[in-house]
Amino acid sequence: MNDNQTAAIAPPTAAEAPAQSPDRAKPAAESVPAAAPRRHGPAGRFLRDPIAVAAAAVLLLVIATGVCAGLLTEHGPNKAALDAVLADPSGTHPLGGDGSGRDVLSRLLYGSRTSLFAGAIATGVALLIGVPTGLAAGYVGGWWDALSSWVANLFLALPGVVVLLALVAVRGPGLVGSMVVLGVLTAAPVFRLVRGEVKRVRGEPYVDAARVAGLSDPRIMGRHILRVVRVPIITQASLIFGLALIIESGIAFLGLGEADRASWGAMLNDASVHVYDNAMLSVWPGAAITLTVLAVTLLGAGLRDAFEDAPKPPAATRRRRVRGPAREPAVRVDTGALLVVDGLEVAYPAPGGEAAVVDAVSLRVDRGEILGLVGESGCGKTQTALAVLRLLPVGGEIRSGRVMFDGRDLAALSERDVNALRGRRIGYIPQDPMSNLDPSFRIGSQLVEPLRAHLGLSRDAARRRALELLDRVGIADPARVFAAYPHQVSGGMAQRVLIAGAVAAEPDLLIADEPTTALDVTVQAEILDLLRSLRREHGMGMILVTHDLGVVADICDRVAVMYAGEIVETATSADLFARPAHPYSAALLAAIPDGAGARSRLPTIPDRVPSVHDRPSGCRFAPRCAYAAPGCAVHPEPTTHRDGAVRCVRVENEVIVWNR
Amino acid sequence: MTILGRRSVAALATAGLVVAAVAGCGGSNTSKGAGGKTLTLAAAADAASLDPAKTAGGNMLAYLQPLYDALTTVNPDQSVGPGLATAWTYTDPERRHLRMTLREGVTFSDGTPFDASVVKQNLDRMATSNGPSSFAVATVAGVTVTSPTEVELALKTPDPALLFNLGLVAGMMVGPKAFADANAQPVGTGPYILDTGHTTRGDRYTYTRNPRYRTPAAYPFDKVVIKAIPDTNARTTALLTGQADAGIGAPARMDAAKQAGLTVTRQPGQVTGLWLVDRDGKIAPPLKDARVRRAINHAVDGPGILKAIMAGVGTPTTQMFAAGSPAYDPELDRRYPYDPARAKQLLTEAGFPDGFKLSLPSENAFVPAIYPVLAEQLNQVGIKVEYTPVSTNQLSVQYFSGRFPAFMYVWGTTQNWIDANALLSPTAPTNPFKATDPVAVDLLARIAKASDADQGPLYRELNAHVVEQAWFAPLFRGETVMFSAKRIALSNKPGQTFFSLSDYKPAG
Amino acid sequence: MITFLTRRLISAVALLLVVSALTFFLMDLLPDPGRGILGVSATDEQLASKRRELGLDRPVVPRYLDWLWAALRGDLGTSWTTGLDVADSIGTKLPVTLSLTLTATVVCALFGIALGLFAAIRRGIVDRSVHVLAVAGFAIPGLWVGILLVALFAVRLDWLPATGYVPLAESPVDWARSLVLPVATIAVSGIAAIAQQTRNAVATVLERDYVRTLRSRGLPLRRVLLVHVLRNATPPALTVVGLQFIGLLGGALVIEQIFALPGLGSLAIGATSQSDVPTVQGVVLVSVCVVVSVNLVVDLATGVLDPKVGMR
Repeated sequence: MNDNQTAAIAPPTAAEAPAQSPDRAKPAAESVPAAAPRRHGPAGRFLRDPIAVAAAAVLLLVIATGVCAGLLTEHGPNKAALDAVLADPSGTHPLGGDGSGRDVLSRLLYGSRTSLFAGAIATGVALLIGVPTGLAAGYVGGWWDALSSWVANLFLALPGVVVLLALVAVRGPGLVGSMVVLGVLTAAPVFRLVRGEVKRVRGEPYVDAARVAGLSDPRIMGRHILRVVRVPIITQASLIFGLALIIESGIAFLGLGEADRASWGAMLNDASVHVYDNAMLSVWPGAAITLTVLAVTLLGAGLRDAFEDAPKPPAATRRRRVRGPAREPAVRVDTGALLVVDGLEVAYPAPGGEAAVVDAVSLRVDRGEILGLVGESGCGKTQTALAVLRLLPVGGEIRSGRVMFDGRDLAALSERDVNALRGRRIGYIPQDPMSNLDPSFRIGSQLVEPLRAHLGLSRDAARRRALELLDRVGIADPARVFAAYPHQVSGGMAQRVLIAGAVAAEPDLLIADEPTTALDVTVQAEILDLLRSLRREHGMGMILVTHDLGVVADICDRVAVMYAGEIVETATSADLFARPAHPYSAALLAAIPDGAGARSRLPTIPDRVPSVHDRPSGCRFAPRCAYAAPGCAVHPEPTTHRDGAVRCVRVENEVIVWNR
Repeated sequence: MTILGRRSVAALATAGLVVAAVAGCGGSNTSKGAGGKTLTLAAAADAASLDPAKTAGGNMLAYLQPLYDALTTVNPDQSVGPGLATAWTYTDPERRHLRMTLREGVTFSDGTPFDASVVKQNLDRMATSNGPSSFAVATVAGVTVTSPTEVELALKTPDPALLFNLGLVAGMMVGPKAFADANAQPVGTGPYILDTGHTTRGDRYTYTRNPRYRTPAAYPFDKVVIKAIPDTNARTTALLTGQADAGIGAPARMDAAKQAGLTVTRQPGQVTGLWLVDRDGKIAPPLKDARVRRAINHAVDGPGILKAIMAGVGTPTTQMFAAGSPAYDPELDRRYPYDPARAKQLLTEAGFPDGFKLSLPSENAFVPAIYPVLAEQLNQVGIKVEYTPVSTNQLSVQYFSGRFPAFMYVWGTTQNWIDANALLSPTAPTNPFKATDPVAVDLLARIAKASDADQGPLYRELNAHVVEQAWFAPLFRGETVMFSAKRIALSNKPGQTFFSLSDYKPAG
Repeated sequence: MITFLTRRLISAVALLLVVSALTFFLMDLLPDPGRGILGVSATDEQLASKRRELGLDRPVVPRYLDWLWAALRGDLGTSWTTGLDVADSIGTKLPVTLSLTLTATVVCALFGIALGLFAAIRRGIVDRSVHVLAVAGFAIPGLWVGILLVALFAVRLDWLPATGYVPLAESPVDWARSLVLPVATIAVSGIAAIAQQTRNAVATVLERDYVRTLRSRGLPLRRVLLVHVLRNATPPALTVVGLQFIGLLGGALVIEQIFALPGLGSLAIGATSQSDVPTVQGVVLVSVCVVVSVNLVVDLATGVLDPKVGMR
């Protein structure tokens, strides 16, 4: 397995793992650079997050005002003076007086103690109960899991407010009691969260490995599992803390709090009485609660991000399309060709700028020609294919270059015009059959829908046509598949359905993204036969994205090899397999394990593809290249070579007998 | 879901009609549209039950008075006049046998004649009903029918409040055939009957004329609607917008009411103050000393609190008895002016120059804004207050079980005996430490047996004694503020503490 | 389908039993309700007699079983404090709470789902605003929003009634007016919460491969969004709306208190503070029933929408 081999060579860090997985179904993960150039510990990452730092600062401020309340105001929080009842702000009472003549500022400052205390109790109790029970339930399972889950569900269904009310009625008002009960009630979601995470992680190989290595259960829990669950716990804890503040204020508002404890909720209670004569009274405690809960929540999010090392969601600002000047065409623009891609650049927003995942890619497909687009995972071949369809994942953009289809630049067309071409003149076969059919709709309707939209067929005509298509792609019982839901058919069947959908309108160009990857070998061969015959019947041009050199050898007329976002070599299939011109192409071919024959997955070359940020300024393959020379420090431009082109400085000057 | 009940069905059925009606008159003023023959009242609480045996007095009276006559009538000046009983007399000097002569020719709205056996059945029922008004006939040992128009009540002890109480819920006569279901289908001898078709429990109660009523002229309205709007602000808004003709409004919005053309009528209400119940110093020894209790009276600024926190709606007082009642003495209100220096001096004389600690309950339902001020003012003279919060449902249990040596309470009845008995009698449930003194016991015994005319001076003597001994530290007597529409003339006599249905007349 | 329903019903019944028993035993710890019912002037004899009348001289377990047996027959008993039939008083309060919670849920769902959809499709500034609003909506206490709205729209501008409830039957216009501020109070956080969840649900669906494939077939974006994306994002959105509704039932307590709406929340507060066990039990029972039914409806709807469950 490709994955495991690479893993053995370079154990992936969490951040790099996505780039190493086969580039199926995860174009975003493949292309969006996952990590910032330099790595920091959680603390460093936290300090680089302005929102989290601001939230922490606000929270520290709240804590500080609570602790230093006595220094910040001369008034006691419960000291009432009749002449200060509903007093306007003044020198002695900067925020005025409340309905009992107490200093509003003082109560605001002292109130933060109550709020933080309340939050701490509720969060503490919830975690103390929820985390251990959740760990045990998830790790041990069995009757303990069943029992504790049942109890948790029960707690979730309890009318919490009534329980709190009843408690106050029984025990009398009390902050600690109410918050302990709130903690117990909110332990249930914590339990569920921890249990779920542990159950998920428990099956992971490294936990198994730890167990095989003889680590005791508590140590595994402490060392491996707790590390994994800490991030969701942090988030959950911050939510509970915020919730506790709000509930505390609600209890005090309902008049069930302790009368002589300064509390923001009690202040709101007092303010609500005076809504007719002093509406300002509610502003301070209300704002204090909001700000504190906001700070706690955002702090939780910041901590989560810092520990998770998660990339910030790309700042997906919607930019106006800026198209730079087209680069020097490497392939002559030939209006006679079906598709000419010229200097295509696709970029995604990334921390500190943009990352070009496809860089100066130029391609050409003639009518009736099958072009293979090969390369390792993450080299940008799927991105190139999607760019042609103008269906890049969120954030992806064509930054420059042209995509000339039948004389029109797809990159410059309006969405509406491109859409008119999709399906009708350009067909698309995705790689994973099961994830590319809408699970909620019957297969038939998914075929009929575009037919009616494109060809203007009647419902019956479209249905007949769809059944014909299903028959054409080799489905034995078209009527049954037509009426089935996607989950009711096999993967091979689904791939045939997708091919039927792609060729339904007899397009001129077919873009097939690893159409056989997910299928077993026999089905693969049948699908390739199908594509071949479709090409024969309709004279379709085709781009076949694959990392399977066997498929290339089998069906492609010409091949484009991609590496780190660039095309490094284009050649006829025969030339490439016989005499690869670029060291990378040669290495690919060389790495096919003996005996596996040509029909093998793209093999492994030592070391890994540089990430978008670590690309050398010169030849991108140079660090892995056995033939690297001083001249390779300059980024090579493609040069004509035989019937194609190659991007390597050494090809022009020396005839290298590549290692084949 | 049958519990959704008739109301939502009715809602759906009538929604269209009401839209049309609203569109037609351009507003939601239902009472004006009824041509002046309808009185719409906004009540401060929902009717707990329309069966007197299950109902307390106070706010509930408004719901019951249209339906039921009581044996006696409580006049605006708190004196007792004839009701279904036209005359009565105590047949023994001990005042333990009361003979009542009943009105003749009265029938219930279901046609059942009213007679002495009905009275016996009702009083027996009230005594055994375990209802909120049962306490009012607790002194009645038995009822004897001596003739169809005469009953005799035997009392366990003399009860100067009995005739007063028989003018309220405890004396309301329910038609015997309706005993089983008096809440849903009430039957009385009152001026109105319940229009169940236009009554929605929890929301509105509609009363129409009782065709069998003997003097309909005393009640000029053909229809009475009572809307239950417990929330003060909502009720005030309803009054300001004319959705109801009269009701208790929010004192803070008195000016708005006057601007809106409403009549604002103020009536004396309940007394807010500290009850220094541990007068024997069982759990708070300092309270045993009358000088300490007087010091507390001097230390709290009733007028200041009234003005600052209660918007001045009320009058400062130092006595628990109702203004205008026989026991009331305006001179006594000058006994304890706000004077912290004097309070400190009294504490020093009592041996507490540095004050002492006092454990008090606090609550959040009645007068929450006063507690911080009270603590601060007592602190000024050296008394350190420690509050224990008590939830609303535990107030009466905890306050009257002897857990606290003193507490803040809002108290108000209007009848002197009820007050005297509840506040001062060593056997009253509301006297948790059973504290008393010989003077009070003696006066209570003498009042119980005194004729109505002789009671007044004795009450005043008792009142003076209680104030002098500072068994309480009253802050102020609150006021209820009535907002009423201009089209309603509201008869209000000095000292009157609540309105009876007969007090409402059309204006002009 | 039948097994699914049966299992859900069994777990619902078990839940009702346990919750009702828990509240019953909890309420049994409350102080003697006699004083609250009979008033402070009641004598000890009257209190003892009241205890006997209410059956409080018997142990708690048989009393619970009696209550349960009666409840099973549809008899929730009569309130200890008002003597009213509990089912009747819930019947008069429930419409208020349902008016509030259903209207609020519908408003939150309509605006929230529309906003969430918009945010997921447009991303950018809308997306980030929804996220900020969702966090802020969580942080702002509803009761403060309520007070602010009352202060502004009722007191300052005098556009709407500050508090109170007008039954639909009395005046639909006033009924609607009486609900505007309470519903707005809930909507401040509710819309943002639903929008955020909908946005996430839609964004997840939008990243699905089949969406790209459908678009590669040349289907107009609008059609893909309105038919395929919406359809697949509906179950999670529905779940969120269901949770929101359940949350509102609890939150109605504070909202009803601010706006003096005579609903179940006010009934619960009043009954709890008066140790009125039959009423509290009734409210709890009805609330749990509503919660269970909402969950069931959401599950059924989700099941119907998911062809894999095969419930259609």
